[in-house]
Amino acid sequence: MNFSNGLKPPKNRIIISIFLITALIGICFYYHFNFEYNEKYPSTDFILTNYPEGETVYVSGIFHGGYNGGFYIIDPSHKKVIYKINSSFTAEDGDTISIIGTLGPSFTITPQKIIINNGWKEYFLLIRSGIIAIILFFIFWRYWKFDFKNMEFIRRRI
Amino acid sequence: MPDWIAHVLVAWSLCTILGFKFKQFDTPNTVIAMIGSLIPDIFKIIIPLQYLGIYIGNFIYPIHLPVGSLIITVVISLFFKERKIIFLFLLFGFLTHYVLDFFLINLIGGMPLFFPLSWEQFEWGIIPADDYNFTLIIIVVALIVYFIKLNYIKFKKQDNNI
Repeated sequence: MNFSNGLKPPKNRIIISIFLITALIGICFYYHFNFEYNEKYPSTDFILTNYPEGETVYVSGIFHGGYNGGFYIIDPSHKKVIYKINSSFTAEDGDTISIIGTLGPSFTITPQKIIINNGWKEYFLLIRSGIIAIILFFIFWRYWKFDFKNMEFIRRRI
Repeated sequence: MPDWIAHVLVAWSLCTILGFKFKQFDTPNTVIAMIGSLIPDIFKIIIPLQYLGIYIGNFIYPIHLPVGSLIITVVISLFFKERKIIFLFLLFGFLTHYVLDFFLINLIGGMPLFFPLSWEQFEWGIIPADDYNFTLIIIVVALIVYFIKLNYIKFKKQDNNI
């Protein structure tokens, strides 16, 4: 059987696509159930179940207010978890903060490394990425069109 | 991540330069490579979902790894008439994405590029994820490539007229 002829009917390509997407979902499940055991440092999921006090952990979250000697961050995927970060770094509302540090009692972290992503920089990144995506869509449509009969994109004659 | 301007312009610049030598790197195929450069960032769908309170980043992360990007590339290329060449250009595009992301600073050690075969993580860790200066440099490089291309086209036209 000629493989490329076998791909011509749209039905065959749809079946292959469903198979491939299913395989991708399976890979995603595998990642989801195993990534914690293969992370360099435990993160919030592990902290909530095992609380490895005294160990180096990785947490990230959004700035949630300051105090004398540090600030708080809230993990958006675990909204009840608020970490207290003992640090002289300053952060502002909207900043996303990633930390590797030593886990102390009551979700206190003494950082070893901190990365602070300014909130406005993140929004600016998203906006300019969104603009280029829209431009790219129109450029694509200028050179390609969809053949509904054969269910495939073909070049436009320009 | 470097932003999408950086990813798209790197793919465009490389295809334009290669287009001086290889006719396959024409504009329609260059557009495909530019789209390919964004395939790994399909993962960024988690951003609007997070605003809705849905957190699935730890589930769909493999899309931002070569194995997931490769599967999506195959699926997309099935719906083009020139399947093989589209696959190659999408592949070229998403490989440029990983080269750029390799430069990013990542506290947790990088990307497990060979997942699911290996969990070992890789990164070079030079550029902060939100650094727009990197994008500015790429824009300047792309402009240089653009002007070289304009001059090349002018030169070829003159050459054909002789």
